[in-house]
Amino acid sequence: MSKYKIFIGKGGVGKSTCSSLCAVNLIPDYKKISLISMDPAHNLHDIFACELNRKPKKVFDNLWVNEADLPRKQREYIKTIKNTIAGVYHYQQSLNLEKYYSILKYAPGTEEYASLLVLEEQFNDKTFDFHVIDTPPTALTLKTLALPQVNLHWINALTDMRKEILDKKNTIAKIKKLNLAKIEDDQVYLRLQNMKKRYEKLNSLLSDTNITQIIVVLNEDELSLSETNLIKGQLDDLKLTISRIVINKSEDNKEWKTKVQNLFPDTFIESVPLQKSSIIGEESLKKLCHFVK
Amino acid sequence: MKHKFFSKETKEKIKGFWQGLEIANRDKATAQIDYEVKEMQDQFSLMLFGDAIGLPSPPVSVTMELLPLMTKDFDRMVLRASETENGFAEIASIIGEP
Repeated sequence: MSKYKIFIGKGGVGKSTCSSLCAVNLIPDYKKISLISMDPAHNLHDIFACELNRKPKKVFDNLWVNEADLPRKQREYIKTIKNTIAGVYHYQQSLNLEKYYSILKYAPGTEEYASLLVLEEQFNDKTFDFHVIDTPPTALTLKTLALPQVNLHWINALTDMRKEILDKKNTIAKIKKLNLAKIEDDQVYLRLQNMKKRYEKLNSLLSDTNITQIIVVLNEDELSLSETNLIKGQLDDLKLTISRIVINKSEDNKEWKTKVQNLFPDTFIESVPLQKSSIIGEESLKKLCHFVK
Repeated sequence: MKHKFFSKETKEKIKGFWQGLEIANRDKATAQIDYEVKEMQDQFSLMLFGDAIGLPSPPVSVTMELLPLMTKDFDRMVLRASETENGFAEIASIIGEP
């Protein structure tokens, strides 16, 4: 079973650097490691000092790196919507729907769904033993992580309603001595069950700390600490556990470590010391990777 | 010898009468449930596509998967709304029904 580490945190705290260090640190222990950036403002190509795209590229040893193309994923998703609508409303084919689809990308929910599709791809990809995921800034990441549960909430409510409709129909059938309908014959119900299975699987993979570790990165400043606290609150609501905290660019300030420890008394905290220059390239990554386990 | 009180034809008529009465009673008994089923089906459509009148709806990732299977239900809800010549009010009223 593949394992996953998801790095989240405020924009600019060094999620990409920490996830890169973590991925490099895993090299001796795993056969094939994947590091993916889901942040639309990628910088893994700068850290690894090479050209990267949406397809995994072997950078060195057994480490493959790629930068997900979220806008492309969004376009693909919008295309599926377009095909669905075209299939349902044949008569609209004469209309110019292109104009409408160009604004669909700004519709609420499409960005986090595209992001969830990328995350789901990682969970379905069994070619790697370990997946390290560098996420977009907090807001989009939290929405993405919440989406399986939000969808499940609706799916369960819709399923209950569907069952109630069938029960009432069968009450009528019994009185009228007609054949009873089976819930398994209801296509809408079946589709809801398929969707339920999919989102439950995603949610269980995200919640199982033996499979997925959520790691929050912060700096020694009030703003990133405050956002980390916000992340903790929202992840608690989703019943997702923070496995580790990484204090990046640490100046070994004991007061700060105590502050963070007080906020996360049960979480392991590690620090990456502030470097004189940016962490770029294989040599520098290998030298410092032991800081992020 | 057994006396025949009713002819075969009369017996059939009486049987038909009672059967008709039974069906009428069953229909009467099920009419309310039938109405509730139709309302619930419209509520189901409204839960999915309520954003047409400004109601909060499930994420697009849920509605789009169900849309191809829901065309008949959606059409029925829209037809019901158009018949009253006050579509928005009619659709909105579905939520308030039992």
